[in-house]
Amino acid sequence: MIDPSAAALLDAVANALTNQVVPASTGSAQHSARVAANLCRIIARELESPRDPVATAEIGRLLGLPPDADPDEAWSALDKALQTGDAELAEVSLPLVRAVVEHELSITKPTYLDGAR
Amino acid sequence: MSTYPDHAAALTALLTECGMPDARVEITGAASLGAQRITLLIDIHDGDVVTPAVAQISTGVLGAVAATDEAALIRLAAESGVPVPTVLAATNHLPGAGQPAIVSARVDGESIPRRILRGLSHQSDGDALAAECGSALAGIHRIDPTNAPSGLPALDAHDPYASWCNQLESDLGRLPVPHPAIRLGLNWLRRNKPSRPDALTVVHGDLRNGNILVHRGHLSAVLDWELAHISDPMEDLGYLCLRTWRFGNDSRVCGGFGSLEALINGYESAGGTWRPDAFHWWMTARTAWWAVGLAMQGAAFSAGLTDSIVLAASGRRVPELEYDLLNLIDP
Repeated sequence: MIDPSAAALLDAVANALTNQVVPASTGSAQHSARVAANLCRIIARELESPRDPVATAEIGRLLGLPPDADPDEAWSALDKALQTGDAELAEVSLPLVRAVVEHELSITKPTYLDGAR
Repeated sequence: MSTYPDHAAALTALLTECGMPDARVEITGAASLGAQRITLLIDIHDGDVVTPAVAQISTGVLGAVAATDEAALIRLAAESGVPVPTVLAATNHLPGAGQPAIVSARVDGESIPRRILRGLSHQSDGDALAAECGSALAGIHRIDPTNAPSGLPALDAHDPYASWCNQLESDLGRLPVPHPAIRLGLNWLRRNKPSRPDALTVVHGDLRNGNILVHRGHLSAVLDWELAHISDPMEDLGYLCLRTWRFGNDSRVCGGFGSLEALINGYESAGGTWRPDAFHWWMTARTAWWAVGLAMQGAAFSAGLTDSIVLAASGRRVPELEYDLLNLIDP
């Protein structure tokens, strides 16, 4: 184990950008610094919880993949299966896709989940 | 501003080509440095007269309407009563530099979305702006499509919805990673085609909070016509109301500033025909489209086509659009 952790360092980078670089810059440099700070915070959250294990496992089960199938493989397989336009598969997979997307959003922009539909 | 000396010379040469032989362009600032376009604030010196203007120079790799077609369309929109900047010069190949460019007279107004929202202190102000957007869109949709530049892309008149879905599917298929949420959206779009309009019309294609100028609470200009095409007029109405263009002001459906009712009233009062099923279909369709667009920006970074951190970050914005998309097909 190394201390400080990667997530803690990313938070420190984000704070340095937000509190020091953003106020000291203008125009596109300032915009880039804001975006960079936000990306650091996203990556820090992603390190803690990269994916939704339950929904990903259920997608694998739905498609008849082995229990130890790679999550990326399950996601690709679902995308491919949906290309047939199978309405039943669309219906049963929608809550699982929603769970995965909501998990990704909890990483990339958690406040978006609280907004109006 | 000395950062763009080549652009100043090229724009001066453009004005000479367009009948202003004594004009000299001075670049006074950069209004925005977008992914697709550089927007420069310029002063045109012609004898003792100084005309404040704006030069938009395309830098994007995405396909868009030719600048000369865009300029012709803006002039048609002006004749149809749509508030637009007066086009002074346009070219598909800027002298020396080669990029497409349009020079327009400067119009007073704010274009930064959050500043527009902050400037509208009462709900009634936002509703008035929404009605003006509705009226402007009705004006665009009134343009006789047979007069429109022949280079405008057009949906297949026999089945515009299928042709739109086919294009989206083709773009989706070119992304480097799978997107089952967008795929579910595409399947929904194919299964839930809306009613047909009386006729396909010219649509702006990108009219949203961010591509309008607002001066003292009123719409002063509709900007950025490079995505104009021939389509179902409701495409523009649905697009204007995407959640992503509300900038956090989610309860104000129209651009984060106005109610849906105000937009409908403005559109219908100016002669537009509102079709609720097509409105929902196009909101869904353009949400899926922008999810793909953001994913393409992220993919361009991953492929090494750009080192822009802003475009890289676009890839991490895709879940917002996917979430909106799922809420539209599964409320």
